Amino acid sequence: MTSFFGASRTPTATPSSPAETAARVENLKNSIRNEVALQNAQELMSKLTEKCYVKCVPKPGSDLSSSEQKCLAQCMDRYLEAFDMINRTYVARLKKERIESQPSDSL
Amino acid sequence: MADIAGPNLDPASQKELQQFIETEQAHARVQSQVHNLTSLCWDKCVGSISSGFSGKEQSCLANCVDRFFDTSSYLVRKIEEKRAFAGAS
Repeated sequence: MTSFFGASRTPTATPSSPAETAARVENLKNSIRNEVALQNAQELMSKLTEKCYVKCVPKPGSDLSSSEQKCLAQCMDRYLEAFDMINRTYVARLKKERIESQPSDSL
Repeated sequence: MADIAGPNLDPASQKELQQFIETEQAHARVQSQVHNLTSLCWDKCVGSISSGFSGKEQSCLANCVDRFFDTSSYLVRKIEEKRAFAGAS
């Protein structure tokens, strides 16, 4: 784990080899990818929980009944399906908008 | 955890990372809009929960995004009409 109290190497140490630099860049990219993916997963989970709570647990009792649990399991599948559909149609529409906003090639 | 300590990256690598970050941010913005639209479309289109979507629910979900885009364009045009009218009078 990176020390927060200073690098173990001084900033004026000998420059990294191209291989070391490439590895560091790749590590940083992976960290960023992971962070973005985590954000996405958290947002999805948060919205899914809210929507399915609304649909499946209209009157909170002293515990979740088995029918409520069944509803929640199905709801999760439905929400993920809906998300997937919206994702695909959104990306497709963005592509379409981009293509239409570009001037067509001259003959 | 990424090694963020150590000597600074060379300008070329910094530029590479900068471009990568911009691309990832663009992806994140798209993802954020997808979450918003899923939430909206779910509320509009989905009734009671079962083992699959009904045909009506399916087509509502399929149309939802495009109608949102159309709504946005339409309202932008209307607003511009109002502004043009206000400017001319």
